[in-house]
Amino acid sequence: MLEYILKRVLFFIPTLFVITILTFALSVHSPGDPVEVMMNINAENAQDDNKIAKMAEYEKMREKLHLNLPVFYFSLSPLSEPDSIYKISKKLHRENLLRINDNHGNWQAVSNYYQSLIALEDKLIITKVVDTLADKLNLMKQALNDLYYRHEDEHIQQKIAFISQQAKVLNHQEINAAVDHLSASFKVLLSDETLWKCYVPALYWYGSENQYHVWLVGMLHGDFGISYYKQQPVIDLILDRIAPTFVFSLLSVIIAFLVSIPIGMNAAIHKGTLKEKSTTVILFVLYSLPGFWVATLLINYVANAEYLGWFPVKGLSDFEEGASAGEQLASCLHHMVLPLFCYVYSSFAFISRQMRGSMLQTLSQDYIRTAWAKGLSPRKVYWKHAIRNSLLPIITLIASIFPGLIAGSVVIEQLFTLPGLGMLAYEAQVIKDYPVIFTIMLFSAILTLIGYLVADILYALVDPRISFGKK
Amino acid sequence: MKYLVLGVVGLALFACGGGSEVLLSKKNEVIIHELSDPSKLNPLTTSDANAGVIMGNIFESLVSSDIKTLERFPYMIKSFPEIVKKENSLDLIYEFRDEVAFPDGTPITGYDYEFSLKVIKNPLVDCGPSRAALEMIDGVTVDEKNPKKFTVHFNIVYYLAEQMASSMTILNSKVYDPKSLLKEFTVSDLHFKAKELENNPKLKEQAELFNTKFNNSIPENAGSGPYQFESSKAFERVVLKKNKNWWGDKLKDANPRIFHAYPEKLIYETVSDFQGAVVSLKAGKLDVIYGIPHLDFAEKMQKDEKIKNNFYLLTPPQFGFEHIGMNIRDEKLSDVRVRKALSQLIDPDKIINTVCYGMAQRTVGFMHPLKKEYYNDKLALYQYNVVEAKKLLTEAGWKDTDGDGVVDKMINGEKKNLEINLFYNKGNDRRKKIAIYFQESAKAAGVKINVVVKDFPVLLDLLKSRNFDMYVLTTISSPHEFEYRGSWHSSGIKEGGNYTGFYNKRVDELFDKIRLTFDKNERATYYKEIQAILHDKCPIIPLMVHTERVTISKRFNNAEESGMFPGFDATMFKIQ
Repeated sequence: MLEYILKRVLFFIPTLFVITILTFALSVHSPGDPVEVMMNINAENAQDDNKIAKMAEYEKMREKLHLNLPVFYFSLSPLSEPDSIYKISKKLHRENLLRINDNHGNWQAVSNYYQSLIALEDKLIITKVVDTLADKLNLMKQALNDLYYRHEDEHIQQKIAFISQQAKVLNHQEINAAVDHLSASFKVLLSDETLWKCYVPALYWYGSENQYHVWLVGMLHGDFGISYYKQQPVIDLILDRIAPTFVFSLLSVIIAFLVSIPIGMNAAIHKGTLKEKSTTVILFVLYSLPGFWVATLLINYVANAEYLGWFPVKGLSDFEEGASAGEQLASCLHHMVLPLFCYVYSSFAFISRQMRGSMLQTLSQDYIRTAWAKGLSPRKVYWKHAIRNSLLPIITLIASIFPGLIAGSVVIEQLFTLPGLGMLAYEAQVIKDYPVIFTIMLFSAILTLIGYLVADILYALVDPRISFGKK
Repeated sequence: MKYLVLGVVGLALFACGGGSEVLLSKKNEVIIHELSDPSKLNPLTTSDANAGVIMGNIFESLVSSDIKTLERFPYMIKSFPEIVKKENSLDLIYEFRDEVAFPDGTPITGYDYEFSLKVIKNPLVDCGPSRAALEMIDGVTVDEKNPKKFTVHFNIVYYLAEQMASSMTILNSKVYDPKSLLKEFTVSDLHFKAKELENNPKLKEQAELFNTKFNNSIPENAGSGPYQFESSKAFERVVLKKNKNWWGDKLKDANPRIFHAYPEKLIYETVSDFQGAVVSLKAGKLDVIYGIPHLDFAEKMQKDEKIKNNFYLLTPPQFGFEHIGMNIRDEKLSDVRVRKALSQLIDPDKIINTVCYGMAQRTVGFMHPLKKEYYNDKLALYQYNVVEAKKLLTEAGWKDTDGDGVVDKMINGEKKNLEINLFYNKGNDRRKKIAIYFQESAKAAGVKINVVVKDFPVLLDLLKSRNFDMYVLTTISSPHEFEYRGSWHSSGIKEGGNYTGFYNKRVDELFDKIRLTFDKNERATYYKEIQAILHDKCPIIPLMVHTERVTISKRFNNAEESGMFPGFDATMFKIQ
């Protein structure tokens, strides 16, 4: 048994490694720019000034988040892509250049083209022209700006032609030279295509100075990054919220199993009777009611003082300062009733149906017939002989409970304002706080693995026929 | 079954502890609903609006305003500063009131202003946007003979300089720098030598303290405001208590519209579900709900007798401007006639009445109609007019030549339909309705609009890369002076907020002039001209400015509505 557990734990290591890579890959490829989220620069803010100062702050934050490093230990990319693409700080520029590179397969030419764009832009910014030509200059700036985000050859050609046209009217020596350089660099891009490089893989090694390594090492030291929104360590946020979710989940699991197993057994024993059928109908009605709807109904009627007003609407407690331990406990329990009901009601039908099916199967086994033949009392037959084997499918369900222990029920926590992890995940999802989302996801994945291990061990405990050791 | 019955009875008995009576509290405290907790409680690094309101009660700045008239008043200072304009720079000379002091009685002087600015200027403190915004300030000089007097030096001439300098939060150095780590630096040091000071151990230590230690609570004496932090619990509430030693209470002949703090406590109660908040409101467990969705406000609040009898239902103005932006770089939208036609294919009045239940107001452009001096009321609002729109499209060469119901035109030798993608952000139901409404109404003139929903970060990327046809968005401004140039000046075309790509030489000139114009009447002339040009060139379709939706318990007097976020000032509320 011990050997089996050790084997499984060892097997977890590569699985976990894969999970961390998947989680990290998702976080890297999520839409939006984390630096801008952290700095709260958004489209709803019309003010746009001090660009240089903002850019300096942007670079500082980028460095703080280690986004100035390569993504992974190595990169397996087409030969046409450079190994230093991550150094281009502007995400949208970087992505566009890669698209152009995909079309032509010549990074050197793409890079020259990009440099010539920047050079022309610098010239346009510092050039002062007479009022009558200001329009032309601005039209050039506008067209040039477009080139940073467009990769279609035809479009680029049109824009460069337009810029050249305006430059002729402007007749400014340095600008003309920069436009000629831009035009020439694009021509080289078109003529010196090395598209074959796009189909040849290339492996670049970056060593341990990469984003994943920093993230993984941090994670092993308990540092899961910084929340974009709260700007606090993610692990602190999770530790703050884990207790309510854990308590609710654990209690709901215990209640669900304690209630459902006897119901399921009774249903199997009294199969076909009116009692069994009516219980099944009630449970299925409950099962079919969506959680958010039941919770909303409970809030609007059971918690609403206009109707019943029996329970509080939100939170975990509302005892006054200086309340005794008993009063505090009573307040907590009072607050827990409605959320707990929402947590468990739908699992009654599911678990009890599983238990019923499993029990019926067990009751048809030969050894049960033997037990009856031996003249054992029904109590002994059901509760001693039948139950252990009937519990096997139920144990499988336990594996799925573990991730729920931390993920909680997002809907219930949100509706009842419970300070749990589900609520944290919900908030993070709304504001795209990826470090929080992915850490919770990672924890869930780890707990799923633990869940399967626990289920395997429980199998062995419940069913003596299952052995993990060598025969 | 018997267990089930017993269980329900037991539950009911247990539940009776909750009581079903609705009691309105007599306590001199205001309980304000929040949908979520403040992101953190740091006076500089917090960026969300609700945290800003909480901070505004604890920390103060030099100038305040009347919540009703929105007029600005000298608050911590004796009068508005003297402005000394130089060729390329500007000085503001301030003097603090004699009474201003922190709760422990320590008088506030120019050194406190200087310290507060130094914290922002510390390159290692996580307040990049504030630091970038105050980049124009490069020094502060405190009068040694009269430390209440100080001068703020700007490195440019800018009409908003006074507003920027006067709105800076005053922090107590005893709390935020107990070891006096910033003492040896001047504002100028931090401004000019920021890069080389990034490794300075003292700055590192102060920044580390500021960035990490002051996020979940606010120590006593941290700010000089009328309230002090009492407690905070995640997903429960943030409680502020009255500052018993507030200098504002000691002012003689103080204007009560500016200097007030009546409730003993302000409680910001988090209820993450809106229905739950309404239930709590009716149970007397909340006094104020704001940011109520239009539908709920119109259907659940304005029609509910109990709520109408016990609560004020207010719709104060909001400085958000909803509009449809058009990418005028696009070959289909580059023709002003097409843009004008589109402006006449949507009926904002209908949207206001159906989507916003009348709780919004039309506007000719980015300027809020409440800013009467600046708003150009001579301009006529575009009206829904399919005939005129069709005429304009025909003039621009768009006709339905193939009878498919969509107008088309030959562009660069290729026949193209007038088919436009209109983006809005996921989760915003109002914008979704506006987009669908526009889609339907534009069909009448043969314009095909594809409504496309994107996550906000993705939409932002599309706007930044100028890779869109049209979008629906709201831009936020302020009831006071505001820098609008980012959306319309050509300097914002490449990477700034000028998403539409609008360029007009005269508009550029006018915005450049506004920066240097300290005379309000003169600025008004410029703003009105800008609005007229934008109205004529149509880079956007102005839809509306919104109103806030607020419910306040009638157990209070003085529940005035305000154009300042969040639409009311709880410190003014007095128990009936």
